[in-house]
Amino acid sequence: MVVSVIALAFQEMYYGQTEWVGLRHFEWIFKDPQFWNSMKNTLVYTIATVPGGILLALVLSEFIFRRSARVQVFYKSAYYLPSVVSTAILSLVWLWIYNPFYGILNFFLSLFGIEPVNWLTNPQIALFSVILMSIIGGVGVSVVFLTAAMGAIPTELYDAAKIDGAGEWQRFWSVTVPLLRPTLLYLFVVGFIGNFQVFEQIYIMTQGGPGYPGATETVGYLIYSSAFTSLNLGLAAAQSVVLFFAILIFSVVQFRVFASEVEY
Amino acid sequence: MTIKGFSAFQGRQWTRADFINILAYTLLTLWALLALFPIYWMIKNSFEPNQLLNVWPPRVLPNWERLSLDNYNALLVRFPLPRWVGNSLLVALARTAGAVFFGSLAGYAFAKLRFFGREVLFWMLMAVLMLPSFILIIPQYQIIRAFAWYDTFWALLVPGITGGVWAMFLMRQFMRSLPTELIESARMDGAGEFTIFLRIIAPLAVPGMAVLAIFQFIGNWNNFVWPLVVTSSKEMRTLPVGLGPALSPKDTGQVTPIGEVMAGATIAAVPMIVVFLFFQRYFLKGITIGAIKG
Repeated sequence: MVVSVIALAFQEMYYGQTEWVGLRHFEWIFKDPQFWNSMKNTLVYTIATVPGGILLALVLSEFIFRRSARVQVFYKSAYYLPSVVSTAILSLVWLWIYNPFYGILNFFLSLFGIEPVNWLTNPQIALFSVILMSIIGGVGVSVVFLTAAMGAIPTELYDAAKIDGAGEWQRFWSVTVPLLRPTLLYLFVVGFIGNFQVFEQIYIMTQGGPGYPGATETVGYLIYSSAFTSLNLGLAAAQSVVLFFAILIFSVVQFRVFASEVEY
Repeated sequence: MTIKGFSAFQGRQWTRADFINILAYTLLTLWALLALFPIYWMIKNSFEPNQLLNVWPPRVLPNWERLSLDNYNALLVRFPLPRWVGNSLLVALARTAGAVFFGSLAGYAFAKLRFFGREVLFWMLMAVLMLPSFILIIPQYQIIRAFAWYDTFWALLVPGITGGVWAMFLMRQFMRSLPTELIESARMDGAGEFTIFLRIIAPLAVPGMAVLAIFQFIGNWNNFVWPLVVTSSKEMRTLPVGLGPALSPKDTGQVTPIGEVMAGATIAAVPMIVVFLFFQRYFLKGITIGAIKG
């Protein structure tokens, strides 16, 4: 199937007929401002959602960890709950929360005297709104992973660090974070692969808009519209091959970064 | 830590640890409210009449006297909801069963059986796991078209019924911890390979299968892209794919009353929330199988 998608990327299809077109799709993609725009949006989205979300999860996990089992279960469940709900369904709810006229978010802001915001129709803000929703929904999974990994760190290491005079902050950065490296690597790689393909939020909330080229159009959404709206499967295949290489490059870089530090 | 924080209220000197505790609980609770609020908002709005929803300012707390099932009734008239729920249930159950069956067989083979090329094959499959699923959708779609399975149950059920590499990997990680001596002594007693799997391995692997089943069930119930791509008629849609686009104003051009949108969302979300609360333990422990040790 990988072979067939690569082969398809070099073909053009009309009404069931296929024609070999060589590199034409790729030439088109690299000249296409819409594709570069979607690549940029995808990168901004992924970099905000994955490292941002993991950093937040790290802080929350540090606060949850070492509390009583009941407290841990309560907070972990609360954070995890949104991720069992379909993203498409959650997007419908956020669409209503973000509603510029009657939405609850603008209501909360109005309590602080802030003017109503067009969360999804203002091109400057729309991508941020999608990111916010994704982070709130996704942090719970990272928290569960990180607290589990923190539980596997032997307490003697902390005692030793304490004897050596390390403060709490220093213990966190010099003992906890380095020892979480395998888990962080997993979260980064899986997070990048998943979020690079972001689609449902865009499909339900903004349809790639507002504006042209769309302020929230991602590569995943562009592939979908090339394939199933414009019915250009060849172009969509070529776009997905480019997406694959982008993901591959990021995965390799992440493996390098996380493996380069000292082994324990 | 917590006891110290508590004693602060009995007139003792406030320590640095108290402040950290207060800060920690404030942050944790704020974030919990943020995570749970959309779900609360969805359920609350689904029971309220539309005249109360399209008003400013919105009411944060439920309007107890005005709660009703009107939105749900209206939604039932508008969409073939029982059919969609049935489709979703069928797809989720069948694919979950498939994933548990194929995943445990493959996982067992990779964990315990010795055969030529096992490691090579395993790492090739792991490479597939790294592949973005988007890249496979287009060729899979073409295969569905070629088989004339478009818009049928075959399209919804068959591709990926094995649970894919992820199911195999999870079961392999789990089965690796089972004692090999059991298998060897059974083999010595003349048990066939399938008997060993069925009588010895499968019962021991039930906790692993449970984790796999729960995640598969939720994943398949919520799956969006694949059913969207391979179905087109109303009758073949699953719940998220039927409701999502139909209720999104940009897709239909017509505005569905927001109370009904929230009612639809609630119908799709609540079963998964119930599954989560019921199997909480598996979620909070299970997802880390294979991720910590790598």
